[in-house]
Amino acid sequence: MIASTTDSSNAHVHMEIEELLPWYVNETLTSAEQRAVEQHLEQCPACREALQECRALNLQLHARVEEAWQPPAGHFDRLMADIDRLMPSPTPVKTGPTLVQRISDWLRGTPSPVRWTLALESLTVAALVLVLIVTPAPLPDLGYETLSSVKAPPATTESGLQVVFAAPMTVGELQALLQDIGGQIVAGPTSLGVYTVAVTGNEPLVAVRNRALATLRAHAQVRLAEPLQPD
Amino acid sequence: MSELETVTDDLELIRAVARQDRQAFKMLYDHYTPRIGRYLSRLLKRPQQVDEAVNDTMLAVWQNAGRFDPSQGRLSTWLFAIAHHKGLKVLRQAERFRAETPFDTLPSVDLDNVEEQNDAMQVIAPQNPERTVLGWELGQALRWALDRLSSEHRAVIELTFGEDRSYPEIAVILDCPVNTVKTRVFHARKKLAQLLAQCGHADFATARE
Repeated sequence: MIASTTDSSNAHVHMEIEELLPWYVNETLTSAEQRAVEQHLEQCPACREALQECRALNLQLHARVEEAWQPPAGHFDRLMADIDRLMPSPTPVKTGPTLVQRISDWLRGTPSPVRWTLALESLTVAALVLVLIVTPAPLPDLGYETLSSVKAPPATTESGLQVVFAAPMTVGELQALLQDIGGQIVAGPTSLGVYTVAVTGNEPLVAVRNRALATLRAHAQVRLAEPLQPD
Repeated sequence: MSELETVTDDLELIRAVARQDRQAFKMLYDHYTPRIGRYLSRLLKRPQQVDEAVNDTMLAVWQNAGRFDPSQGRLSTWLFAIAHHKGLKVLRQAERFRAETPFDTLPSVDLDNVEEQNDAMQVIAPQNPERTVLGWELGQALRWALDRLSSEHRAVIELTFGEDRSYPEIAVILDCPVNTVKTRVFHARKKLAQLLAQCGHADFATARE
């Protein structure tokens, strides 16, 4: 009974070792496996014979030279063509990052508290922009103006006038005219050559204004004369 | 170059391929396809099948380079696993194609092996005295016998004795347990010995001693 158990155990070891012989030959066993094989070989003629067979097989298969494979001409190019055909999309290596990528990369490199502050700031700016767009605001100076857009200077009375003089008008003519209407230049000229002229007098303002307007309009060197405040 | 350097270079190379670096892919191709092609030409039978299987293998490498895990083994083992899988696929396709052709209604003759069978007959009864030169004759017989093995048996014989792979590596390549590899090689060896005995090489084991 004991002998038979030992036999069966030996048979099991023999089988295990014989199965390892191919890799004993190609020297890829662990050193423990290698030692076990060598120990068994000393006492097992069958395994020594099997070892010879494995060595012969190894030698023969390594002796072959006729089957060396080399890529046929154009093989790699065809492979790349297949790759381009099957996977046309990704060629990201050469191109630079897009604006969105740059922003997201920059954000990734930004510490979290800074990121939150930036986000809050951005929200505030966006809200302000919204308020500016929605609220009716005074038009910005766009480099041009109409006669009606000229503001009344603070010193101007209600008898302010807008006047455009002709280019050839001399300073003397201008002074004479202003003295004639009892007026003085309080603002101007604007880019369109508009002067604001204030007129004063003892009569009611409307009468003073109308008389001044009539005189101005009659003058050869006055192109335009309008009341600052329409009636 | 030391093994460590090779491993590092391999890792850099496959990572570059994963980034779609075509220059790195060409380097990988130049370095590994001769070995992959050699294995596939021994697993398969027709040069066209080999070219196709190498192509399929490298296509899969390009697509899956990012999945290579160095903790699972060497790059060449990973490449051989893909090559083995693609090789068997090409083989199965060819078999299916043959099964669908009317030629197969003829008595079961392996069309691929007609030439080799003729060679084997000459080995058994050599007419030319030159063919009795032992190495040449044995080489021919062995080639014939290997071609008669199933693709499963041929694969393990080639990986073990032709490519000097360890059994754990072969288990990775075949995607099966290590014990399966051991028993499969054992049975493949017995089958090979039987085939060699059929053509007069029963003394195969001692032939080269």
